[in-house]
Amino acid sequence: MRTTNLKRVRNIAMFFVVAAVWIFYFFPIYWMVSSSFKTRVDTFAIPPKWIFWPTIQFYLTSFTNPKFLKVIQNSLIITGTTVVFSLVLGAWAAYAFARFRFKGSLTLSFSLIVARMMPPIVFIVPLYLLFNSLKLRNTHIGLILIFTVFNLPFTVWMLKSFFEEVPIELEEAAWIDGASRLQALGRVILPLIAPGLAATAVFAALLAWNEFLFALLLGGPDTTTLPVFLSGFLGERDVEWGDIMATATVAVLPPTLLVMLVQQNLIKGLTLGAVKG
Amino acid sequence: MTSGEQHASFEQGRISEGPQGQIRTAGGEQRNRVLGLPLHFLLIAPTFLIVFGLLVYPLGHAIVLSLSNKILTGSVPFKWVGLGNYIDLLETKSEMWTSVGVTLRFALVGVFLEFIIGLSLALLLNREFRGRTWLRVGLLVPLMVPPLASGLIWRIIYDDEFGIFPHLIRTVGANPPIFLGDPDWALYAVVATEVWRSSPFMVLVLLAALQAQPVETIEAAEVDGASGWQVFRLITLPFITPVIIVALLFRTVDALRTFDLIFLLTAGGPGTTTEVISMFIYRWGFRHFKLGFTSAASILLMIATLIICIFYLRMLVVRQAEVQLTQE
Amino acid sequence: MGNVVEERGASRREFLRAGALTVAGAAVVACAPAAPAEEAAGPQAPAVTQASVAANDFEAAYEEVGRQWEGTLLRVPVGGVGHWAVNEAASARFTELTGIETEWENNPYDQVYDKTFLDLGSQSGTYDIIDLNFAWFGQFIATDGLLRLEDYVDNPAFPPIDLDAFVPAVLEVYGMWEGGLYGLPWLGDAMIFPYNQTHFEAAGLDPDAPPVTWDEVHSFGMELTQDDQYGFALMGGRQIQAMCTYAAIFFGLANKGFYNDAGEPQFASDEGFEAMEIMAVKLPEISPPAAISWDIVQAAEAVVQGTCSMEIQWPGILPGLIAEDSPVHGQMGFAAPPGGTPLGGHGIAVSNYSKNKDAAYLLCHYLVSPEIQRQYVSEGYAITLTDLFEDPEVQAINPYLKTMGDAMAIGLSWPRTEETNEVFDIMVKHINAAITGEETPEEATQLMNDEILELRRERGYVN
Repeated sequence: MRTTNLKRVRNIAMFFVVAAVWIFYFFPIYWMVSSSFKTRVDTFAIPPKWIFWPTIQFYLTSFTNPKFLKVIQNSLIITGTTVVFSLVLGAWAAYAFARFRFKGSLTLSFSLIVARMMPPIVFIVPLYLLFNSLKLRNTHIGLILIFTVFNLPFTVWMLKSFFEEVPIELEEAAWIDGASRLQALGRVILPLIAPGLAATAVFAALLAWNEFLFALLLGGPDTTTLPVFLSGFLGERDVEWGDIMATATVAVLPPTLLVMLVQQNLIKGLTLGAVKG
Repeated sequence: MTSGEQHASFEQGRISEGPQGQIRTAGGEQRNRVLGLPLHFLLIAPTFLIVFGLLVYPLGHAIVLSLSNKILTGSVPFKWVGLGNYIDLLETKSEMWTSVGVTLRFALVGVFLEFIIGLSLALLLNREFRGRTWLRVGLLVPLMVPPLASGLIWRIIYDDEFGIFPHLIRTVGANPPIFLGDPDWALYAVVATEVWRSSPFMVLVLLAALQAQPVETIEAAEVDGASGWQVFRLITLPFITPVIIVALLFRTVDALRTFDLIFLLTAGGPGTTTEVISMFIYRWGFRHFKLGFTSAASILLMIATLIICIFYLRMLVVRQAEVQLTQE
Repeated sequence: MGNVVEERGASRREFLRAGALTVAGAAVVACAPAAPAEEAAGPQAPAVTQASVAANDFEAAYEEVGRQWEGTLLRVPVGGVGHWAVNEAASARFTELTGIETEWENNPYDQVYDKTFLDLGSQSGTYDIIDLNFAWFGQFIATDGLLRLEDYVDNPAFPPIDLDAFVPAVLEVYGMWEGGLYGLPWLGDAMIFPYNQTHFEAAGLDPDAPPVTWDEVHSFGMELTQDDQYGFALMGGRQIQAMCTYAAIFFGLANKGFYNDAGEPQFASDEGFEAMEIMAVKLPEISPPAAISWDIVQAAEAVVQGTCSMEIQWPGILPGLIAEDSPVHGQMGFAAPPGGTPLGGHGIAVSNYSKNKDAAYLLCHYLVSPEIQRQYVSEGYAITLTDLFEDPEVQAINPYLKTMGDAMAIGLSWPRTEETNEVFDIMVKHINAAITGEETPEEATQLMNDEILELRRERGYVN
């Protein structure tokens, strides 16, 4: 009897905690989405309006803009390729750092983070000149390269700590069965750290999807990504509030789909780990 | 394999290079060479080529410029000033010190809250309850919102006239401050937004670490009669500590140079209460185009970040060692 | 007080007009020898026999000249939404007429400057047409990135253009630099003073007598402020609009520019201190508390919602006031700001590093023509041709256009030298510090003046 009571109290407490978490994280999102359906007058109503007559005019302007599809396409290409580059290169390096003892490995892995410590603003002017002379400005590959560079320190460090969690014995078992190092990496280790890979992939994707400063200044009309397109609604005097909120709502959809896909993988990785142990 | 053994093999050489490291190369020299080159070299080469290939020039450029009076707009003749920019910056009356204080408060309070919230939510999400999957996906949405949109949304939510937040506070009878306009509140309002946006990162990373934890170590401990807290402190925490280090490290590095959110919410105001160092650098770099001065400030920021990171690593290494000791 | 200012305003107006005419005239005459005419017009392409799409003589002129550059692509970086949308639409017709393609790249306004500056500074010639916000003039000139336009204006191969038809102050400020012509006046802009006549009436004020001094703004504001209702919508946050508002007050009180003849800032003067007092103490008294964090959108929307009764504002954001669904539809009156106002606005220029200078000039020419400017009016945007402000047809379309013309006539420009952005930055910092009480108005004004003086000394503008 007492235990069921305790359980009930715990369940109720749990419910409130979860509800509070939802409200904190979701209220601003709700406000963004609802703003995208508000006329400008309703968006700035004093006091704020909960109930309003919805409009889809801002979605219509987004979707009827011929540039918009091109922009989504750019963002998808650049983000997708960046993630592949970051994960493949990052996993190689991370594996080397996790499994090999060699002189200067700590210094080298640490020096990668240093690359991320500079405020991006100071890189802009020299990178602009460099990209100009390499003809990389306003190209997809240019942005992919620079996003990969910003992603790699994180990917390497993240994956390194996941690799280190895999007992070396599992790998050795595979070697005894005749697998080469890289084969063992692909067949035994990567499936084991799938949750880590998935998490890392999500962050690499989000960085590329949302990066603004470099996409704006090193990119150009041929590479306009969603955040750059979005910022085009900031005028000299005015902010096209509704357009920004509608476009941002659309921009949230592809990464949400990605995470939902990866979510499956996260759970699979979990069960796999349990079976393995 | 017992849990003790497993831990020994997890811990080895993770931060310090111990003699146990030998185990890693078990399997013979031959396995570790491809085309006559050491495999580890081939594996790290592409990463370093691309990272340093693209960043060495800008970094060198910044270091060289930091010794000059370079102004991009060009009316002032170029000259070398040695360490002059650094001296100006470090002078006690320099505006930079205000920004340093703001940045430290912003980063420390922010990262600390993110860590606490991140760890709690990761532990919560590691349990079974209804709607867990949805919450896991949902938590990521703040990270996906383009920064421009989240900045604008929070700005309007906080606004004393148009905002829902002060409105709700009034509805319950209290008197809200001007969140983004009151010098006492602005920084914490910005921190709250940053926590909203970045704590999901902590949650997901720590959750992934928790999920990689072998179930049987916990089961074994529970069989031995360990309480939930003991299991967490003695088994779970040491296990996820390396991931915590990495997550904290990257969040700190990023928090120390946060720019977009502050630019959108307050642009450094009211007064200078939210002028973090990257806002300071932006103003001098892109409003004043004083590239020499700005480069010097950036390099100082980099050095400071470096010191904080080393401090972090050491602190956590020591802590980790202690945990190991108590275990043995 | 109002009268004195009025008088001084008028004399300055005449001075500017005379000055601009002389300068423009001299420039045109000086470049009259038409030696580069051939080069400017480019090699004459074989006449393409193609059915004309021009609907009238105006269009035919561009069609005839432009066809030789058919297929050229012109890149134009502009500042997101706003005036440029109308131009982008107009340039679609230009493409139909001439076959010259255009690509309008929308960027957030702050970064248009960064991008253009990087492009001109690195001489990469990505952009053909430059949006010349006049506060950037000095910096663009310093990169040698702007094409001198006298030869083009004078070249009979292009359709004729009458520089005298532009508002003289605007031609001077948006187009001329040290006697040379670098830009055509594109988008006129000056802050105006919208006020809610219905609120005025309710508070017992005369709805047809907007305040003519800043003291009146304050005293009217006190009448209008009660409960949740406020007299004024101040743009008090730490952003450029705080500087614009301060400049408007300063110009209104002092009727002089930022610097004296010796190049020194003149804010540490009676008018400068008073302007800061108004900005940091008096206007916050009649504005909502939230206004200390407000930018342009919040202030403009507070007036649209009817929460605030007066504002000093750029016309670009005002269509919301007169829209059909506006809560204050039909309630607004528009006046020129008390005493003076800052000029905003843009010239349109051609990049010196462009590979398609001739085609680019033709597009600039097209976009400032009277026929296209008429199209801006219906969208509520700014014009630069003197006659258009007086055109009853145009005035009927846009209720604040006449006011804008008046404001532009008393408008003073801010400095255009290359360190202007830095001066703005210093001002914004101290104005906001005064509003939030971190510095007293006197301290803020003095510090602002000292820092600007030091900067200008460093750059060699002051001895």
